Amino acid sequence: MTENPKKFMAALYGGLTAAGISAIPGLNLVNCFCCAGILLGGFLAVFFYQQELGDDADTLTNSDCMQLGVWAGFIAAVAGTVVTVAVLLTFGNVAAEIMMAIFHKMRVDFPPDLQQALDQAIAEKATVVSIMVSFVITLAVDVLFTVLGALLGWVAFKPKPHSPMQG
Amino acid sequence: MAMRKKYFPHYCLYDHRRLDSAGAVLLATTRFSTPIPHSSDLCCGKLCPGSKKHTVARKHKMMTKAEYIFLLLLLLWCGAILLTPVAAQYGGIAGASAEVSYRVFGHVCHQWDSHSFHIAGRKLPVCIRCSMIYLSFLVGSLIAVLSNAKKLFSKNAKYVLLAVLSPLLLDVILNMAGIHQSTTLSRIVSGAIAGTGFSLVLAPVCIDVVHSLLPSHKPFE
Repeated sequence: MTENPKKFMAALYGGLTAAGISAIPGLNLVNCFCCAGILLGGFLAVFFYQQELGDDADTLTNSDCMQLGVWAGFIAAVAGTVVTVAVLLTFGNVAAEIMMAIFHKMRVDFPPDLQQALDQAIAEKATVVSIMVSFVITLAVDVLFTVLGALLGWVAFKPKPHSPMQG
Repeated sequence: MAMRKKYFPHYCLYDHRRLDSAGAVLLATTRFSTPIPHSSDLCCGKLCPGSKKHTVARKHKMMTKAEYIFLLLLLLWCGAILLTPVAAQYGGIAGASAEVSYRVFGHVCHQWDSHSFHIAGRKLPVCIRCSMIYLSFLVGSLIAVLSNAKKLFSKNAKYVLLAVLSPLLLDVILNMAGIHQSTTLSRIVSGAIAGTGFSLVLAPVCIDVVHSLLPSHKPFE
């Protein structure tokens, strides 16, 4: 009975880490490398769960890790969307402005039509529909990559094999 | 004969309970991954490389259902990457699908034009490095499925992951620090190494997970 709260708390920590990395403007550039921040969230969920198990760490299985990944992904998507919307409503599209600043620093010249589309995207206000669409995509991507991160965690922290004769 | 030995190993490396012929658990411990002599009495009976059932599946199909599904999902992911620029040239459903695809992959990659491969004049929905990671992951998974990579990397998985990730991390970090300039070649090579290495370690684990999700899978009591 004590296992589920442990699992949920580990998934919560992992999910919030992934959400923090995804939602904080500037820091979310980490996700440009195949969702590294999201992968890290799933990985950390398994790490925290393994720490919580302590002496029972031998009972860690790949299906536990998959469950942790799914939960962490769900939490990451919900928390990430909430933080993103809060940042968007408070400060505007800071993430896009940071990206544009990087492009300008790199002296990237956009064609006029693309530049116009980017300016329009930055100026565009968030609507309920756009937030919902974004949430659905984020949920799918986050769950997929946190599960992969959790499976990486399983590979890293799986219990060492012991001889059948040890019992 | 050599091929047969390669594909049908004599030991079960899966983390299953040790069972007697009646299906009762012989040992109190729930899981261990120590090699168990291949026999119907000792093996768990699931589709693991050591079981007779698996051997039969290999003889007739070469790949198990879980392996097919896993490879199919990977093929869909990589296919979506390669077909998006082609679909983007057309209107209607194809154009709309391409737009959705660019948006979904936009969550995974920066999609910078200068850092991307182009097909038919349009960029892929992910950058060169990510493309190489995904495509080599697909190729590596195929190798992993056919060569029983679980046996090869099960003990040293952590170190394999670190080793294959280091060229990629070095390429990114040194580029950001201004010490070295990332090139298309460095992105291709580091991405391919990372993708292949990840697949050899992760593919067997993912296949286990797919297998456990299949309706025919009966977990032990």
